[in-house]
Amino acid sequence: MKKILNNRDEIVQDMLSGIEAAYSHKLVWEKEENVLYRKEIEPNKVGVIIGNGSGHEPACVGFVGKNMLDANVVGNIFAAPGPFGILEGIKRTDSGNGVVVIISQHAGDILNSKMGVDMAADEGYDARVVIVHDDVVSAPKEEMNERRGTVGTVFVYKMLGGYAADGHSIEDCVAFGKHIVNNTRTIGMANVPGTSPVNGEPMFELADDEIEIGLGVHGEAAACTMKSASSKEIAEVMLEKLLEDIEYNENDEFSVIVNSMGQTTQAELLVFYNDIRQLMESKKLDIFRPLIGTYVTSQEMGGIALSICKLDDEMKKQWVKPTDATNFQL
Amino acid sequence: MLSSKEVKNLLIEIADMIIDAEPELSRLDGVIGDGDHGISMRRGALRGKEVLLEMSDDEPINEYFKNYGWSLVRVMGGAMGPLVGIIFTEFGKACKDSQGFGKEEFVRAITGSTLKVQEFGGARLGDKTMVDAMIPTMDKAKEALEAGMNFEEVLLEAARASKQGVENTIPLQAKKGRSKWLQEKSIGHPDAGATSYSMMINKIKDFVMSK
Repeated sequence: MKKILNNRDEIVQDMLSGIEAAYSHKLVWEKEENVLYRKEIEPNKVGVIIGNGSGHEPACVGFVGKNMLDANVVGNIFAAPGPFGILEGIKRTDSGNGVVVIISQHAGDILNSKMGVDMAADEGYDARVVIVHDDVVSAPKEEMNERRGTVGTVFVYKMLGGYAADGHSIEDCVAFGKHIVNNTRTIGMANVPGTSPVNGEPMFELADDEIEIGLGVHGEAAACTMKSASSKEIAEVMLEKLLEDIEYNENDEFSVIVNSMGQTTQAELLVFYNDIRQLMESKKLDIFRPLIGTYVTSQEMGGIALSICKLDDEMKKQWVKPTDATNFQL
Repeated sequence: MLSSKEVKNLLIEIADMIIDAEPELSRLDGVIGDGDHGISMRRGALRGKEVLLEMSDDEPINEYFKNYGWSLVRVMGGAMGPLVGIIFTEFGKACKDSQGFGKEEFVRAITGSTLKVQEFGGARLGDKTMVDAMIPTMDKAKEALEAGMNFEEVLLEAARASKQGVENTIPLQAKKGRSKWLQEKSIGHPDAGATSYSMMINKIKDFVMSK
């Protein structure tokens, strides 16, 4: 393993030390539970936070900022933070109006975040969850609520963060969060496995001339393996899977995330986006302000996650609102 | 009905029982898991007992359950910490405004914890987990309460049902959190989590009966 690290048991601490050193003008690192939170949170707004395993950077440390996440509770590599971390995140971001805890659906995240929310309720906090389950291949449409959370979470961080900043109640924030989730679909593909920084092992195996379509952000088993293909062919397969899963009409507006899983270059992402754009044009679907870059990774995995979100006016307004989050740039 | 002091003593006895049962629980878990169930449960019980001993004898009843549960969450970690911890925090919630711990509180407690464990952990009846002991225990205890039985009788019904629930896990194949070949290996052995839940329910029964 040729990763640039010091002690592999201290990756998370070292990374957070770097963040603290670089961004102390806007972020605070609570070291006991590894909560990264905004230095100045506007009063009288609902807090918006998420806890997640690290190893997916920039997610989610790079999304803590104005009009986005108020805090990120950082777990160990690919391991959900425990309930006390979530509780601490709630405490640090509650201004008396409650806190929405976003959960990207994986067993460990559900268990620990829900327990943290439960404990917070016992302490008198009003914390509610919004569960993101956008990965279309992880369960059939009839079992949509069982699906994993993946890159579509970024739509939720941005739009819900902005919405909360407008002063909406916690009930409205939860409803808006669910509305975003209901309109978001994601599919991933990989051409090179990533390496776990903990054990130095590849996260899955893939022949040189093969790609996988539909795998999860931790390399969870894919829907199908196919021979390497052109960007256009891959775009067709992926977009079709997403569109057959969501109801839409001609001239509906979508935003699109074309996300690098770590290794894939910006040039490749742009080539791929151009194919997606043409395919959507041919179906008379409009794209509104795409997000193209490296946002949610699996270490140095090669591949792209494609996420679409069907928009209404409120969602559009929140999507383009300015933020000072370190790693969000439309 | 149990008083504050009695609830504190009951929890200490539960902790001692779990500490003593470490080899057995680890053996059961070792059949299909990494054998750390007993070790993890013991670590939680040791810390939970310490926290209880630091508390006075006349605190609100829910505080004993809550502090014990939070200790388990803190020191056990992983998936078992929250899943076992939530049982005790739900016991706490069930007697938040109560003067004692009686049959109403008991049934509320096991109902709350059974629902929460299912919601948080995602296990269903037949997955060979703690839930297989929890659901029949809850059902029987509710029935007994509705039939007008007293605290001792409700506990007897619950304790019997929990043992049956453990028995029921023996022929089952584990589904959650285990690899395929370990799942097959699990057939023929009771589930460790269901076993420790049943031990706890039986301890509550014994404690109340011997009062």
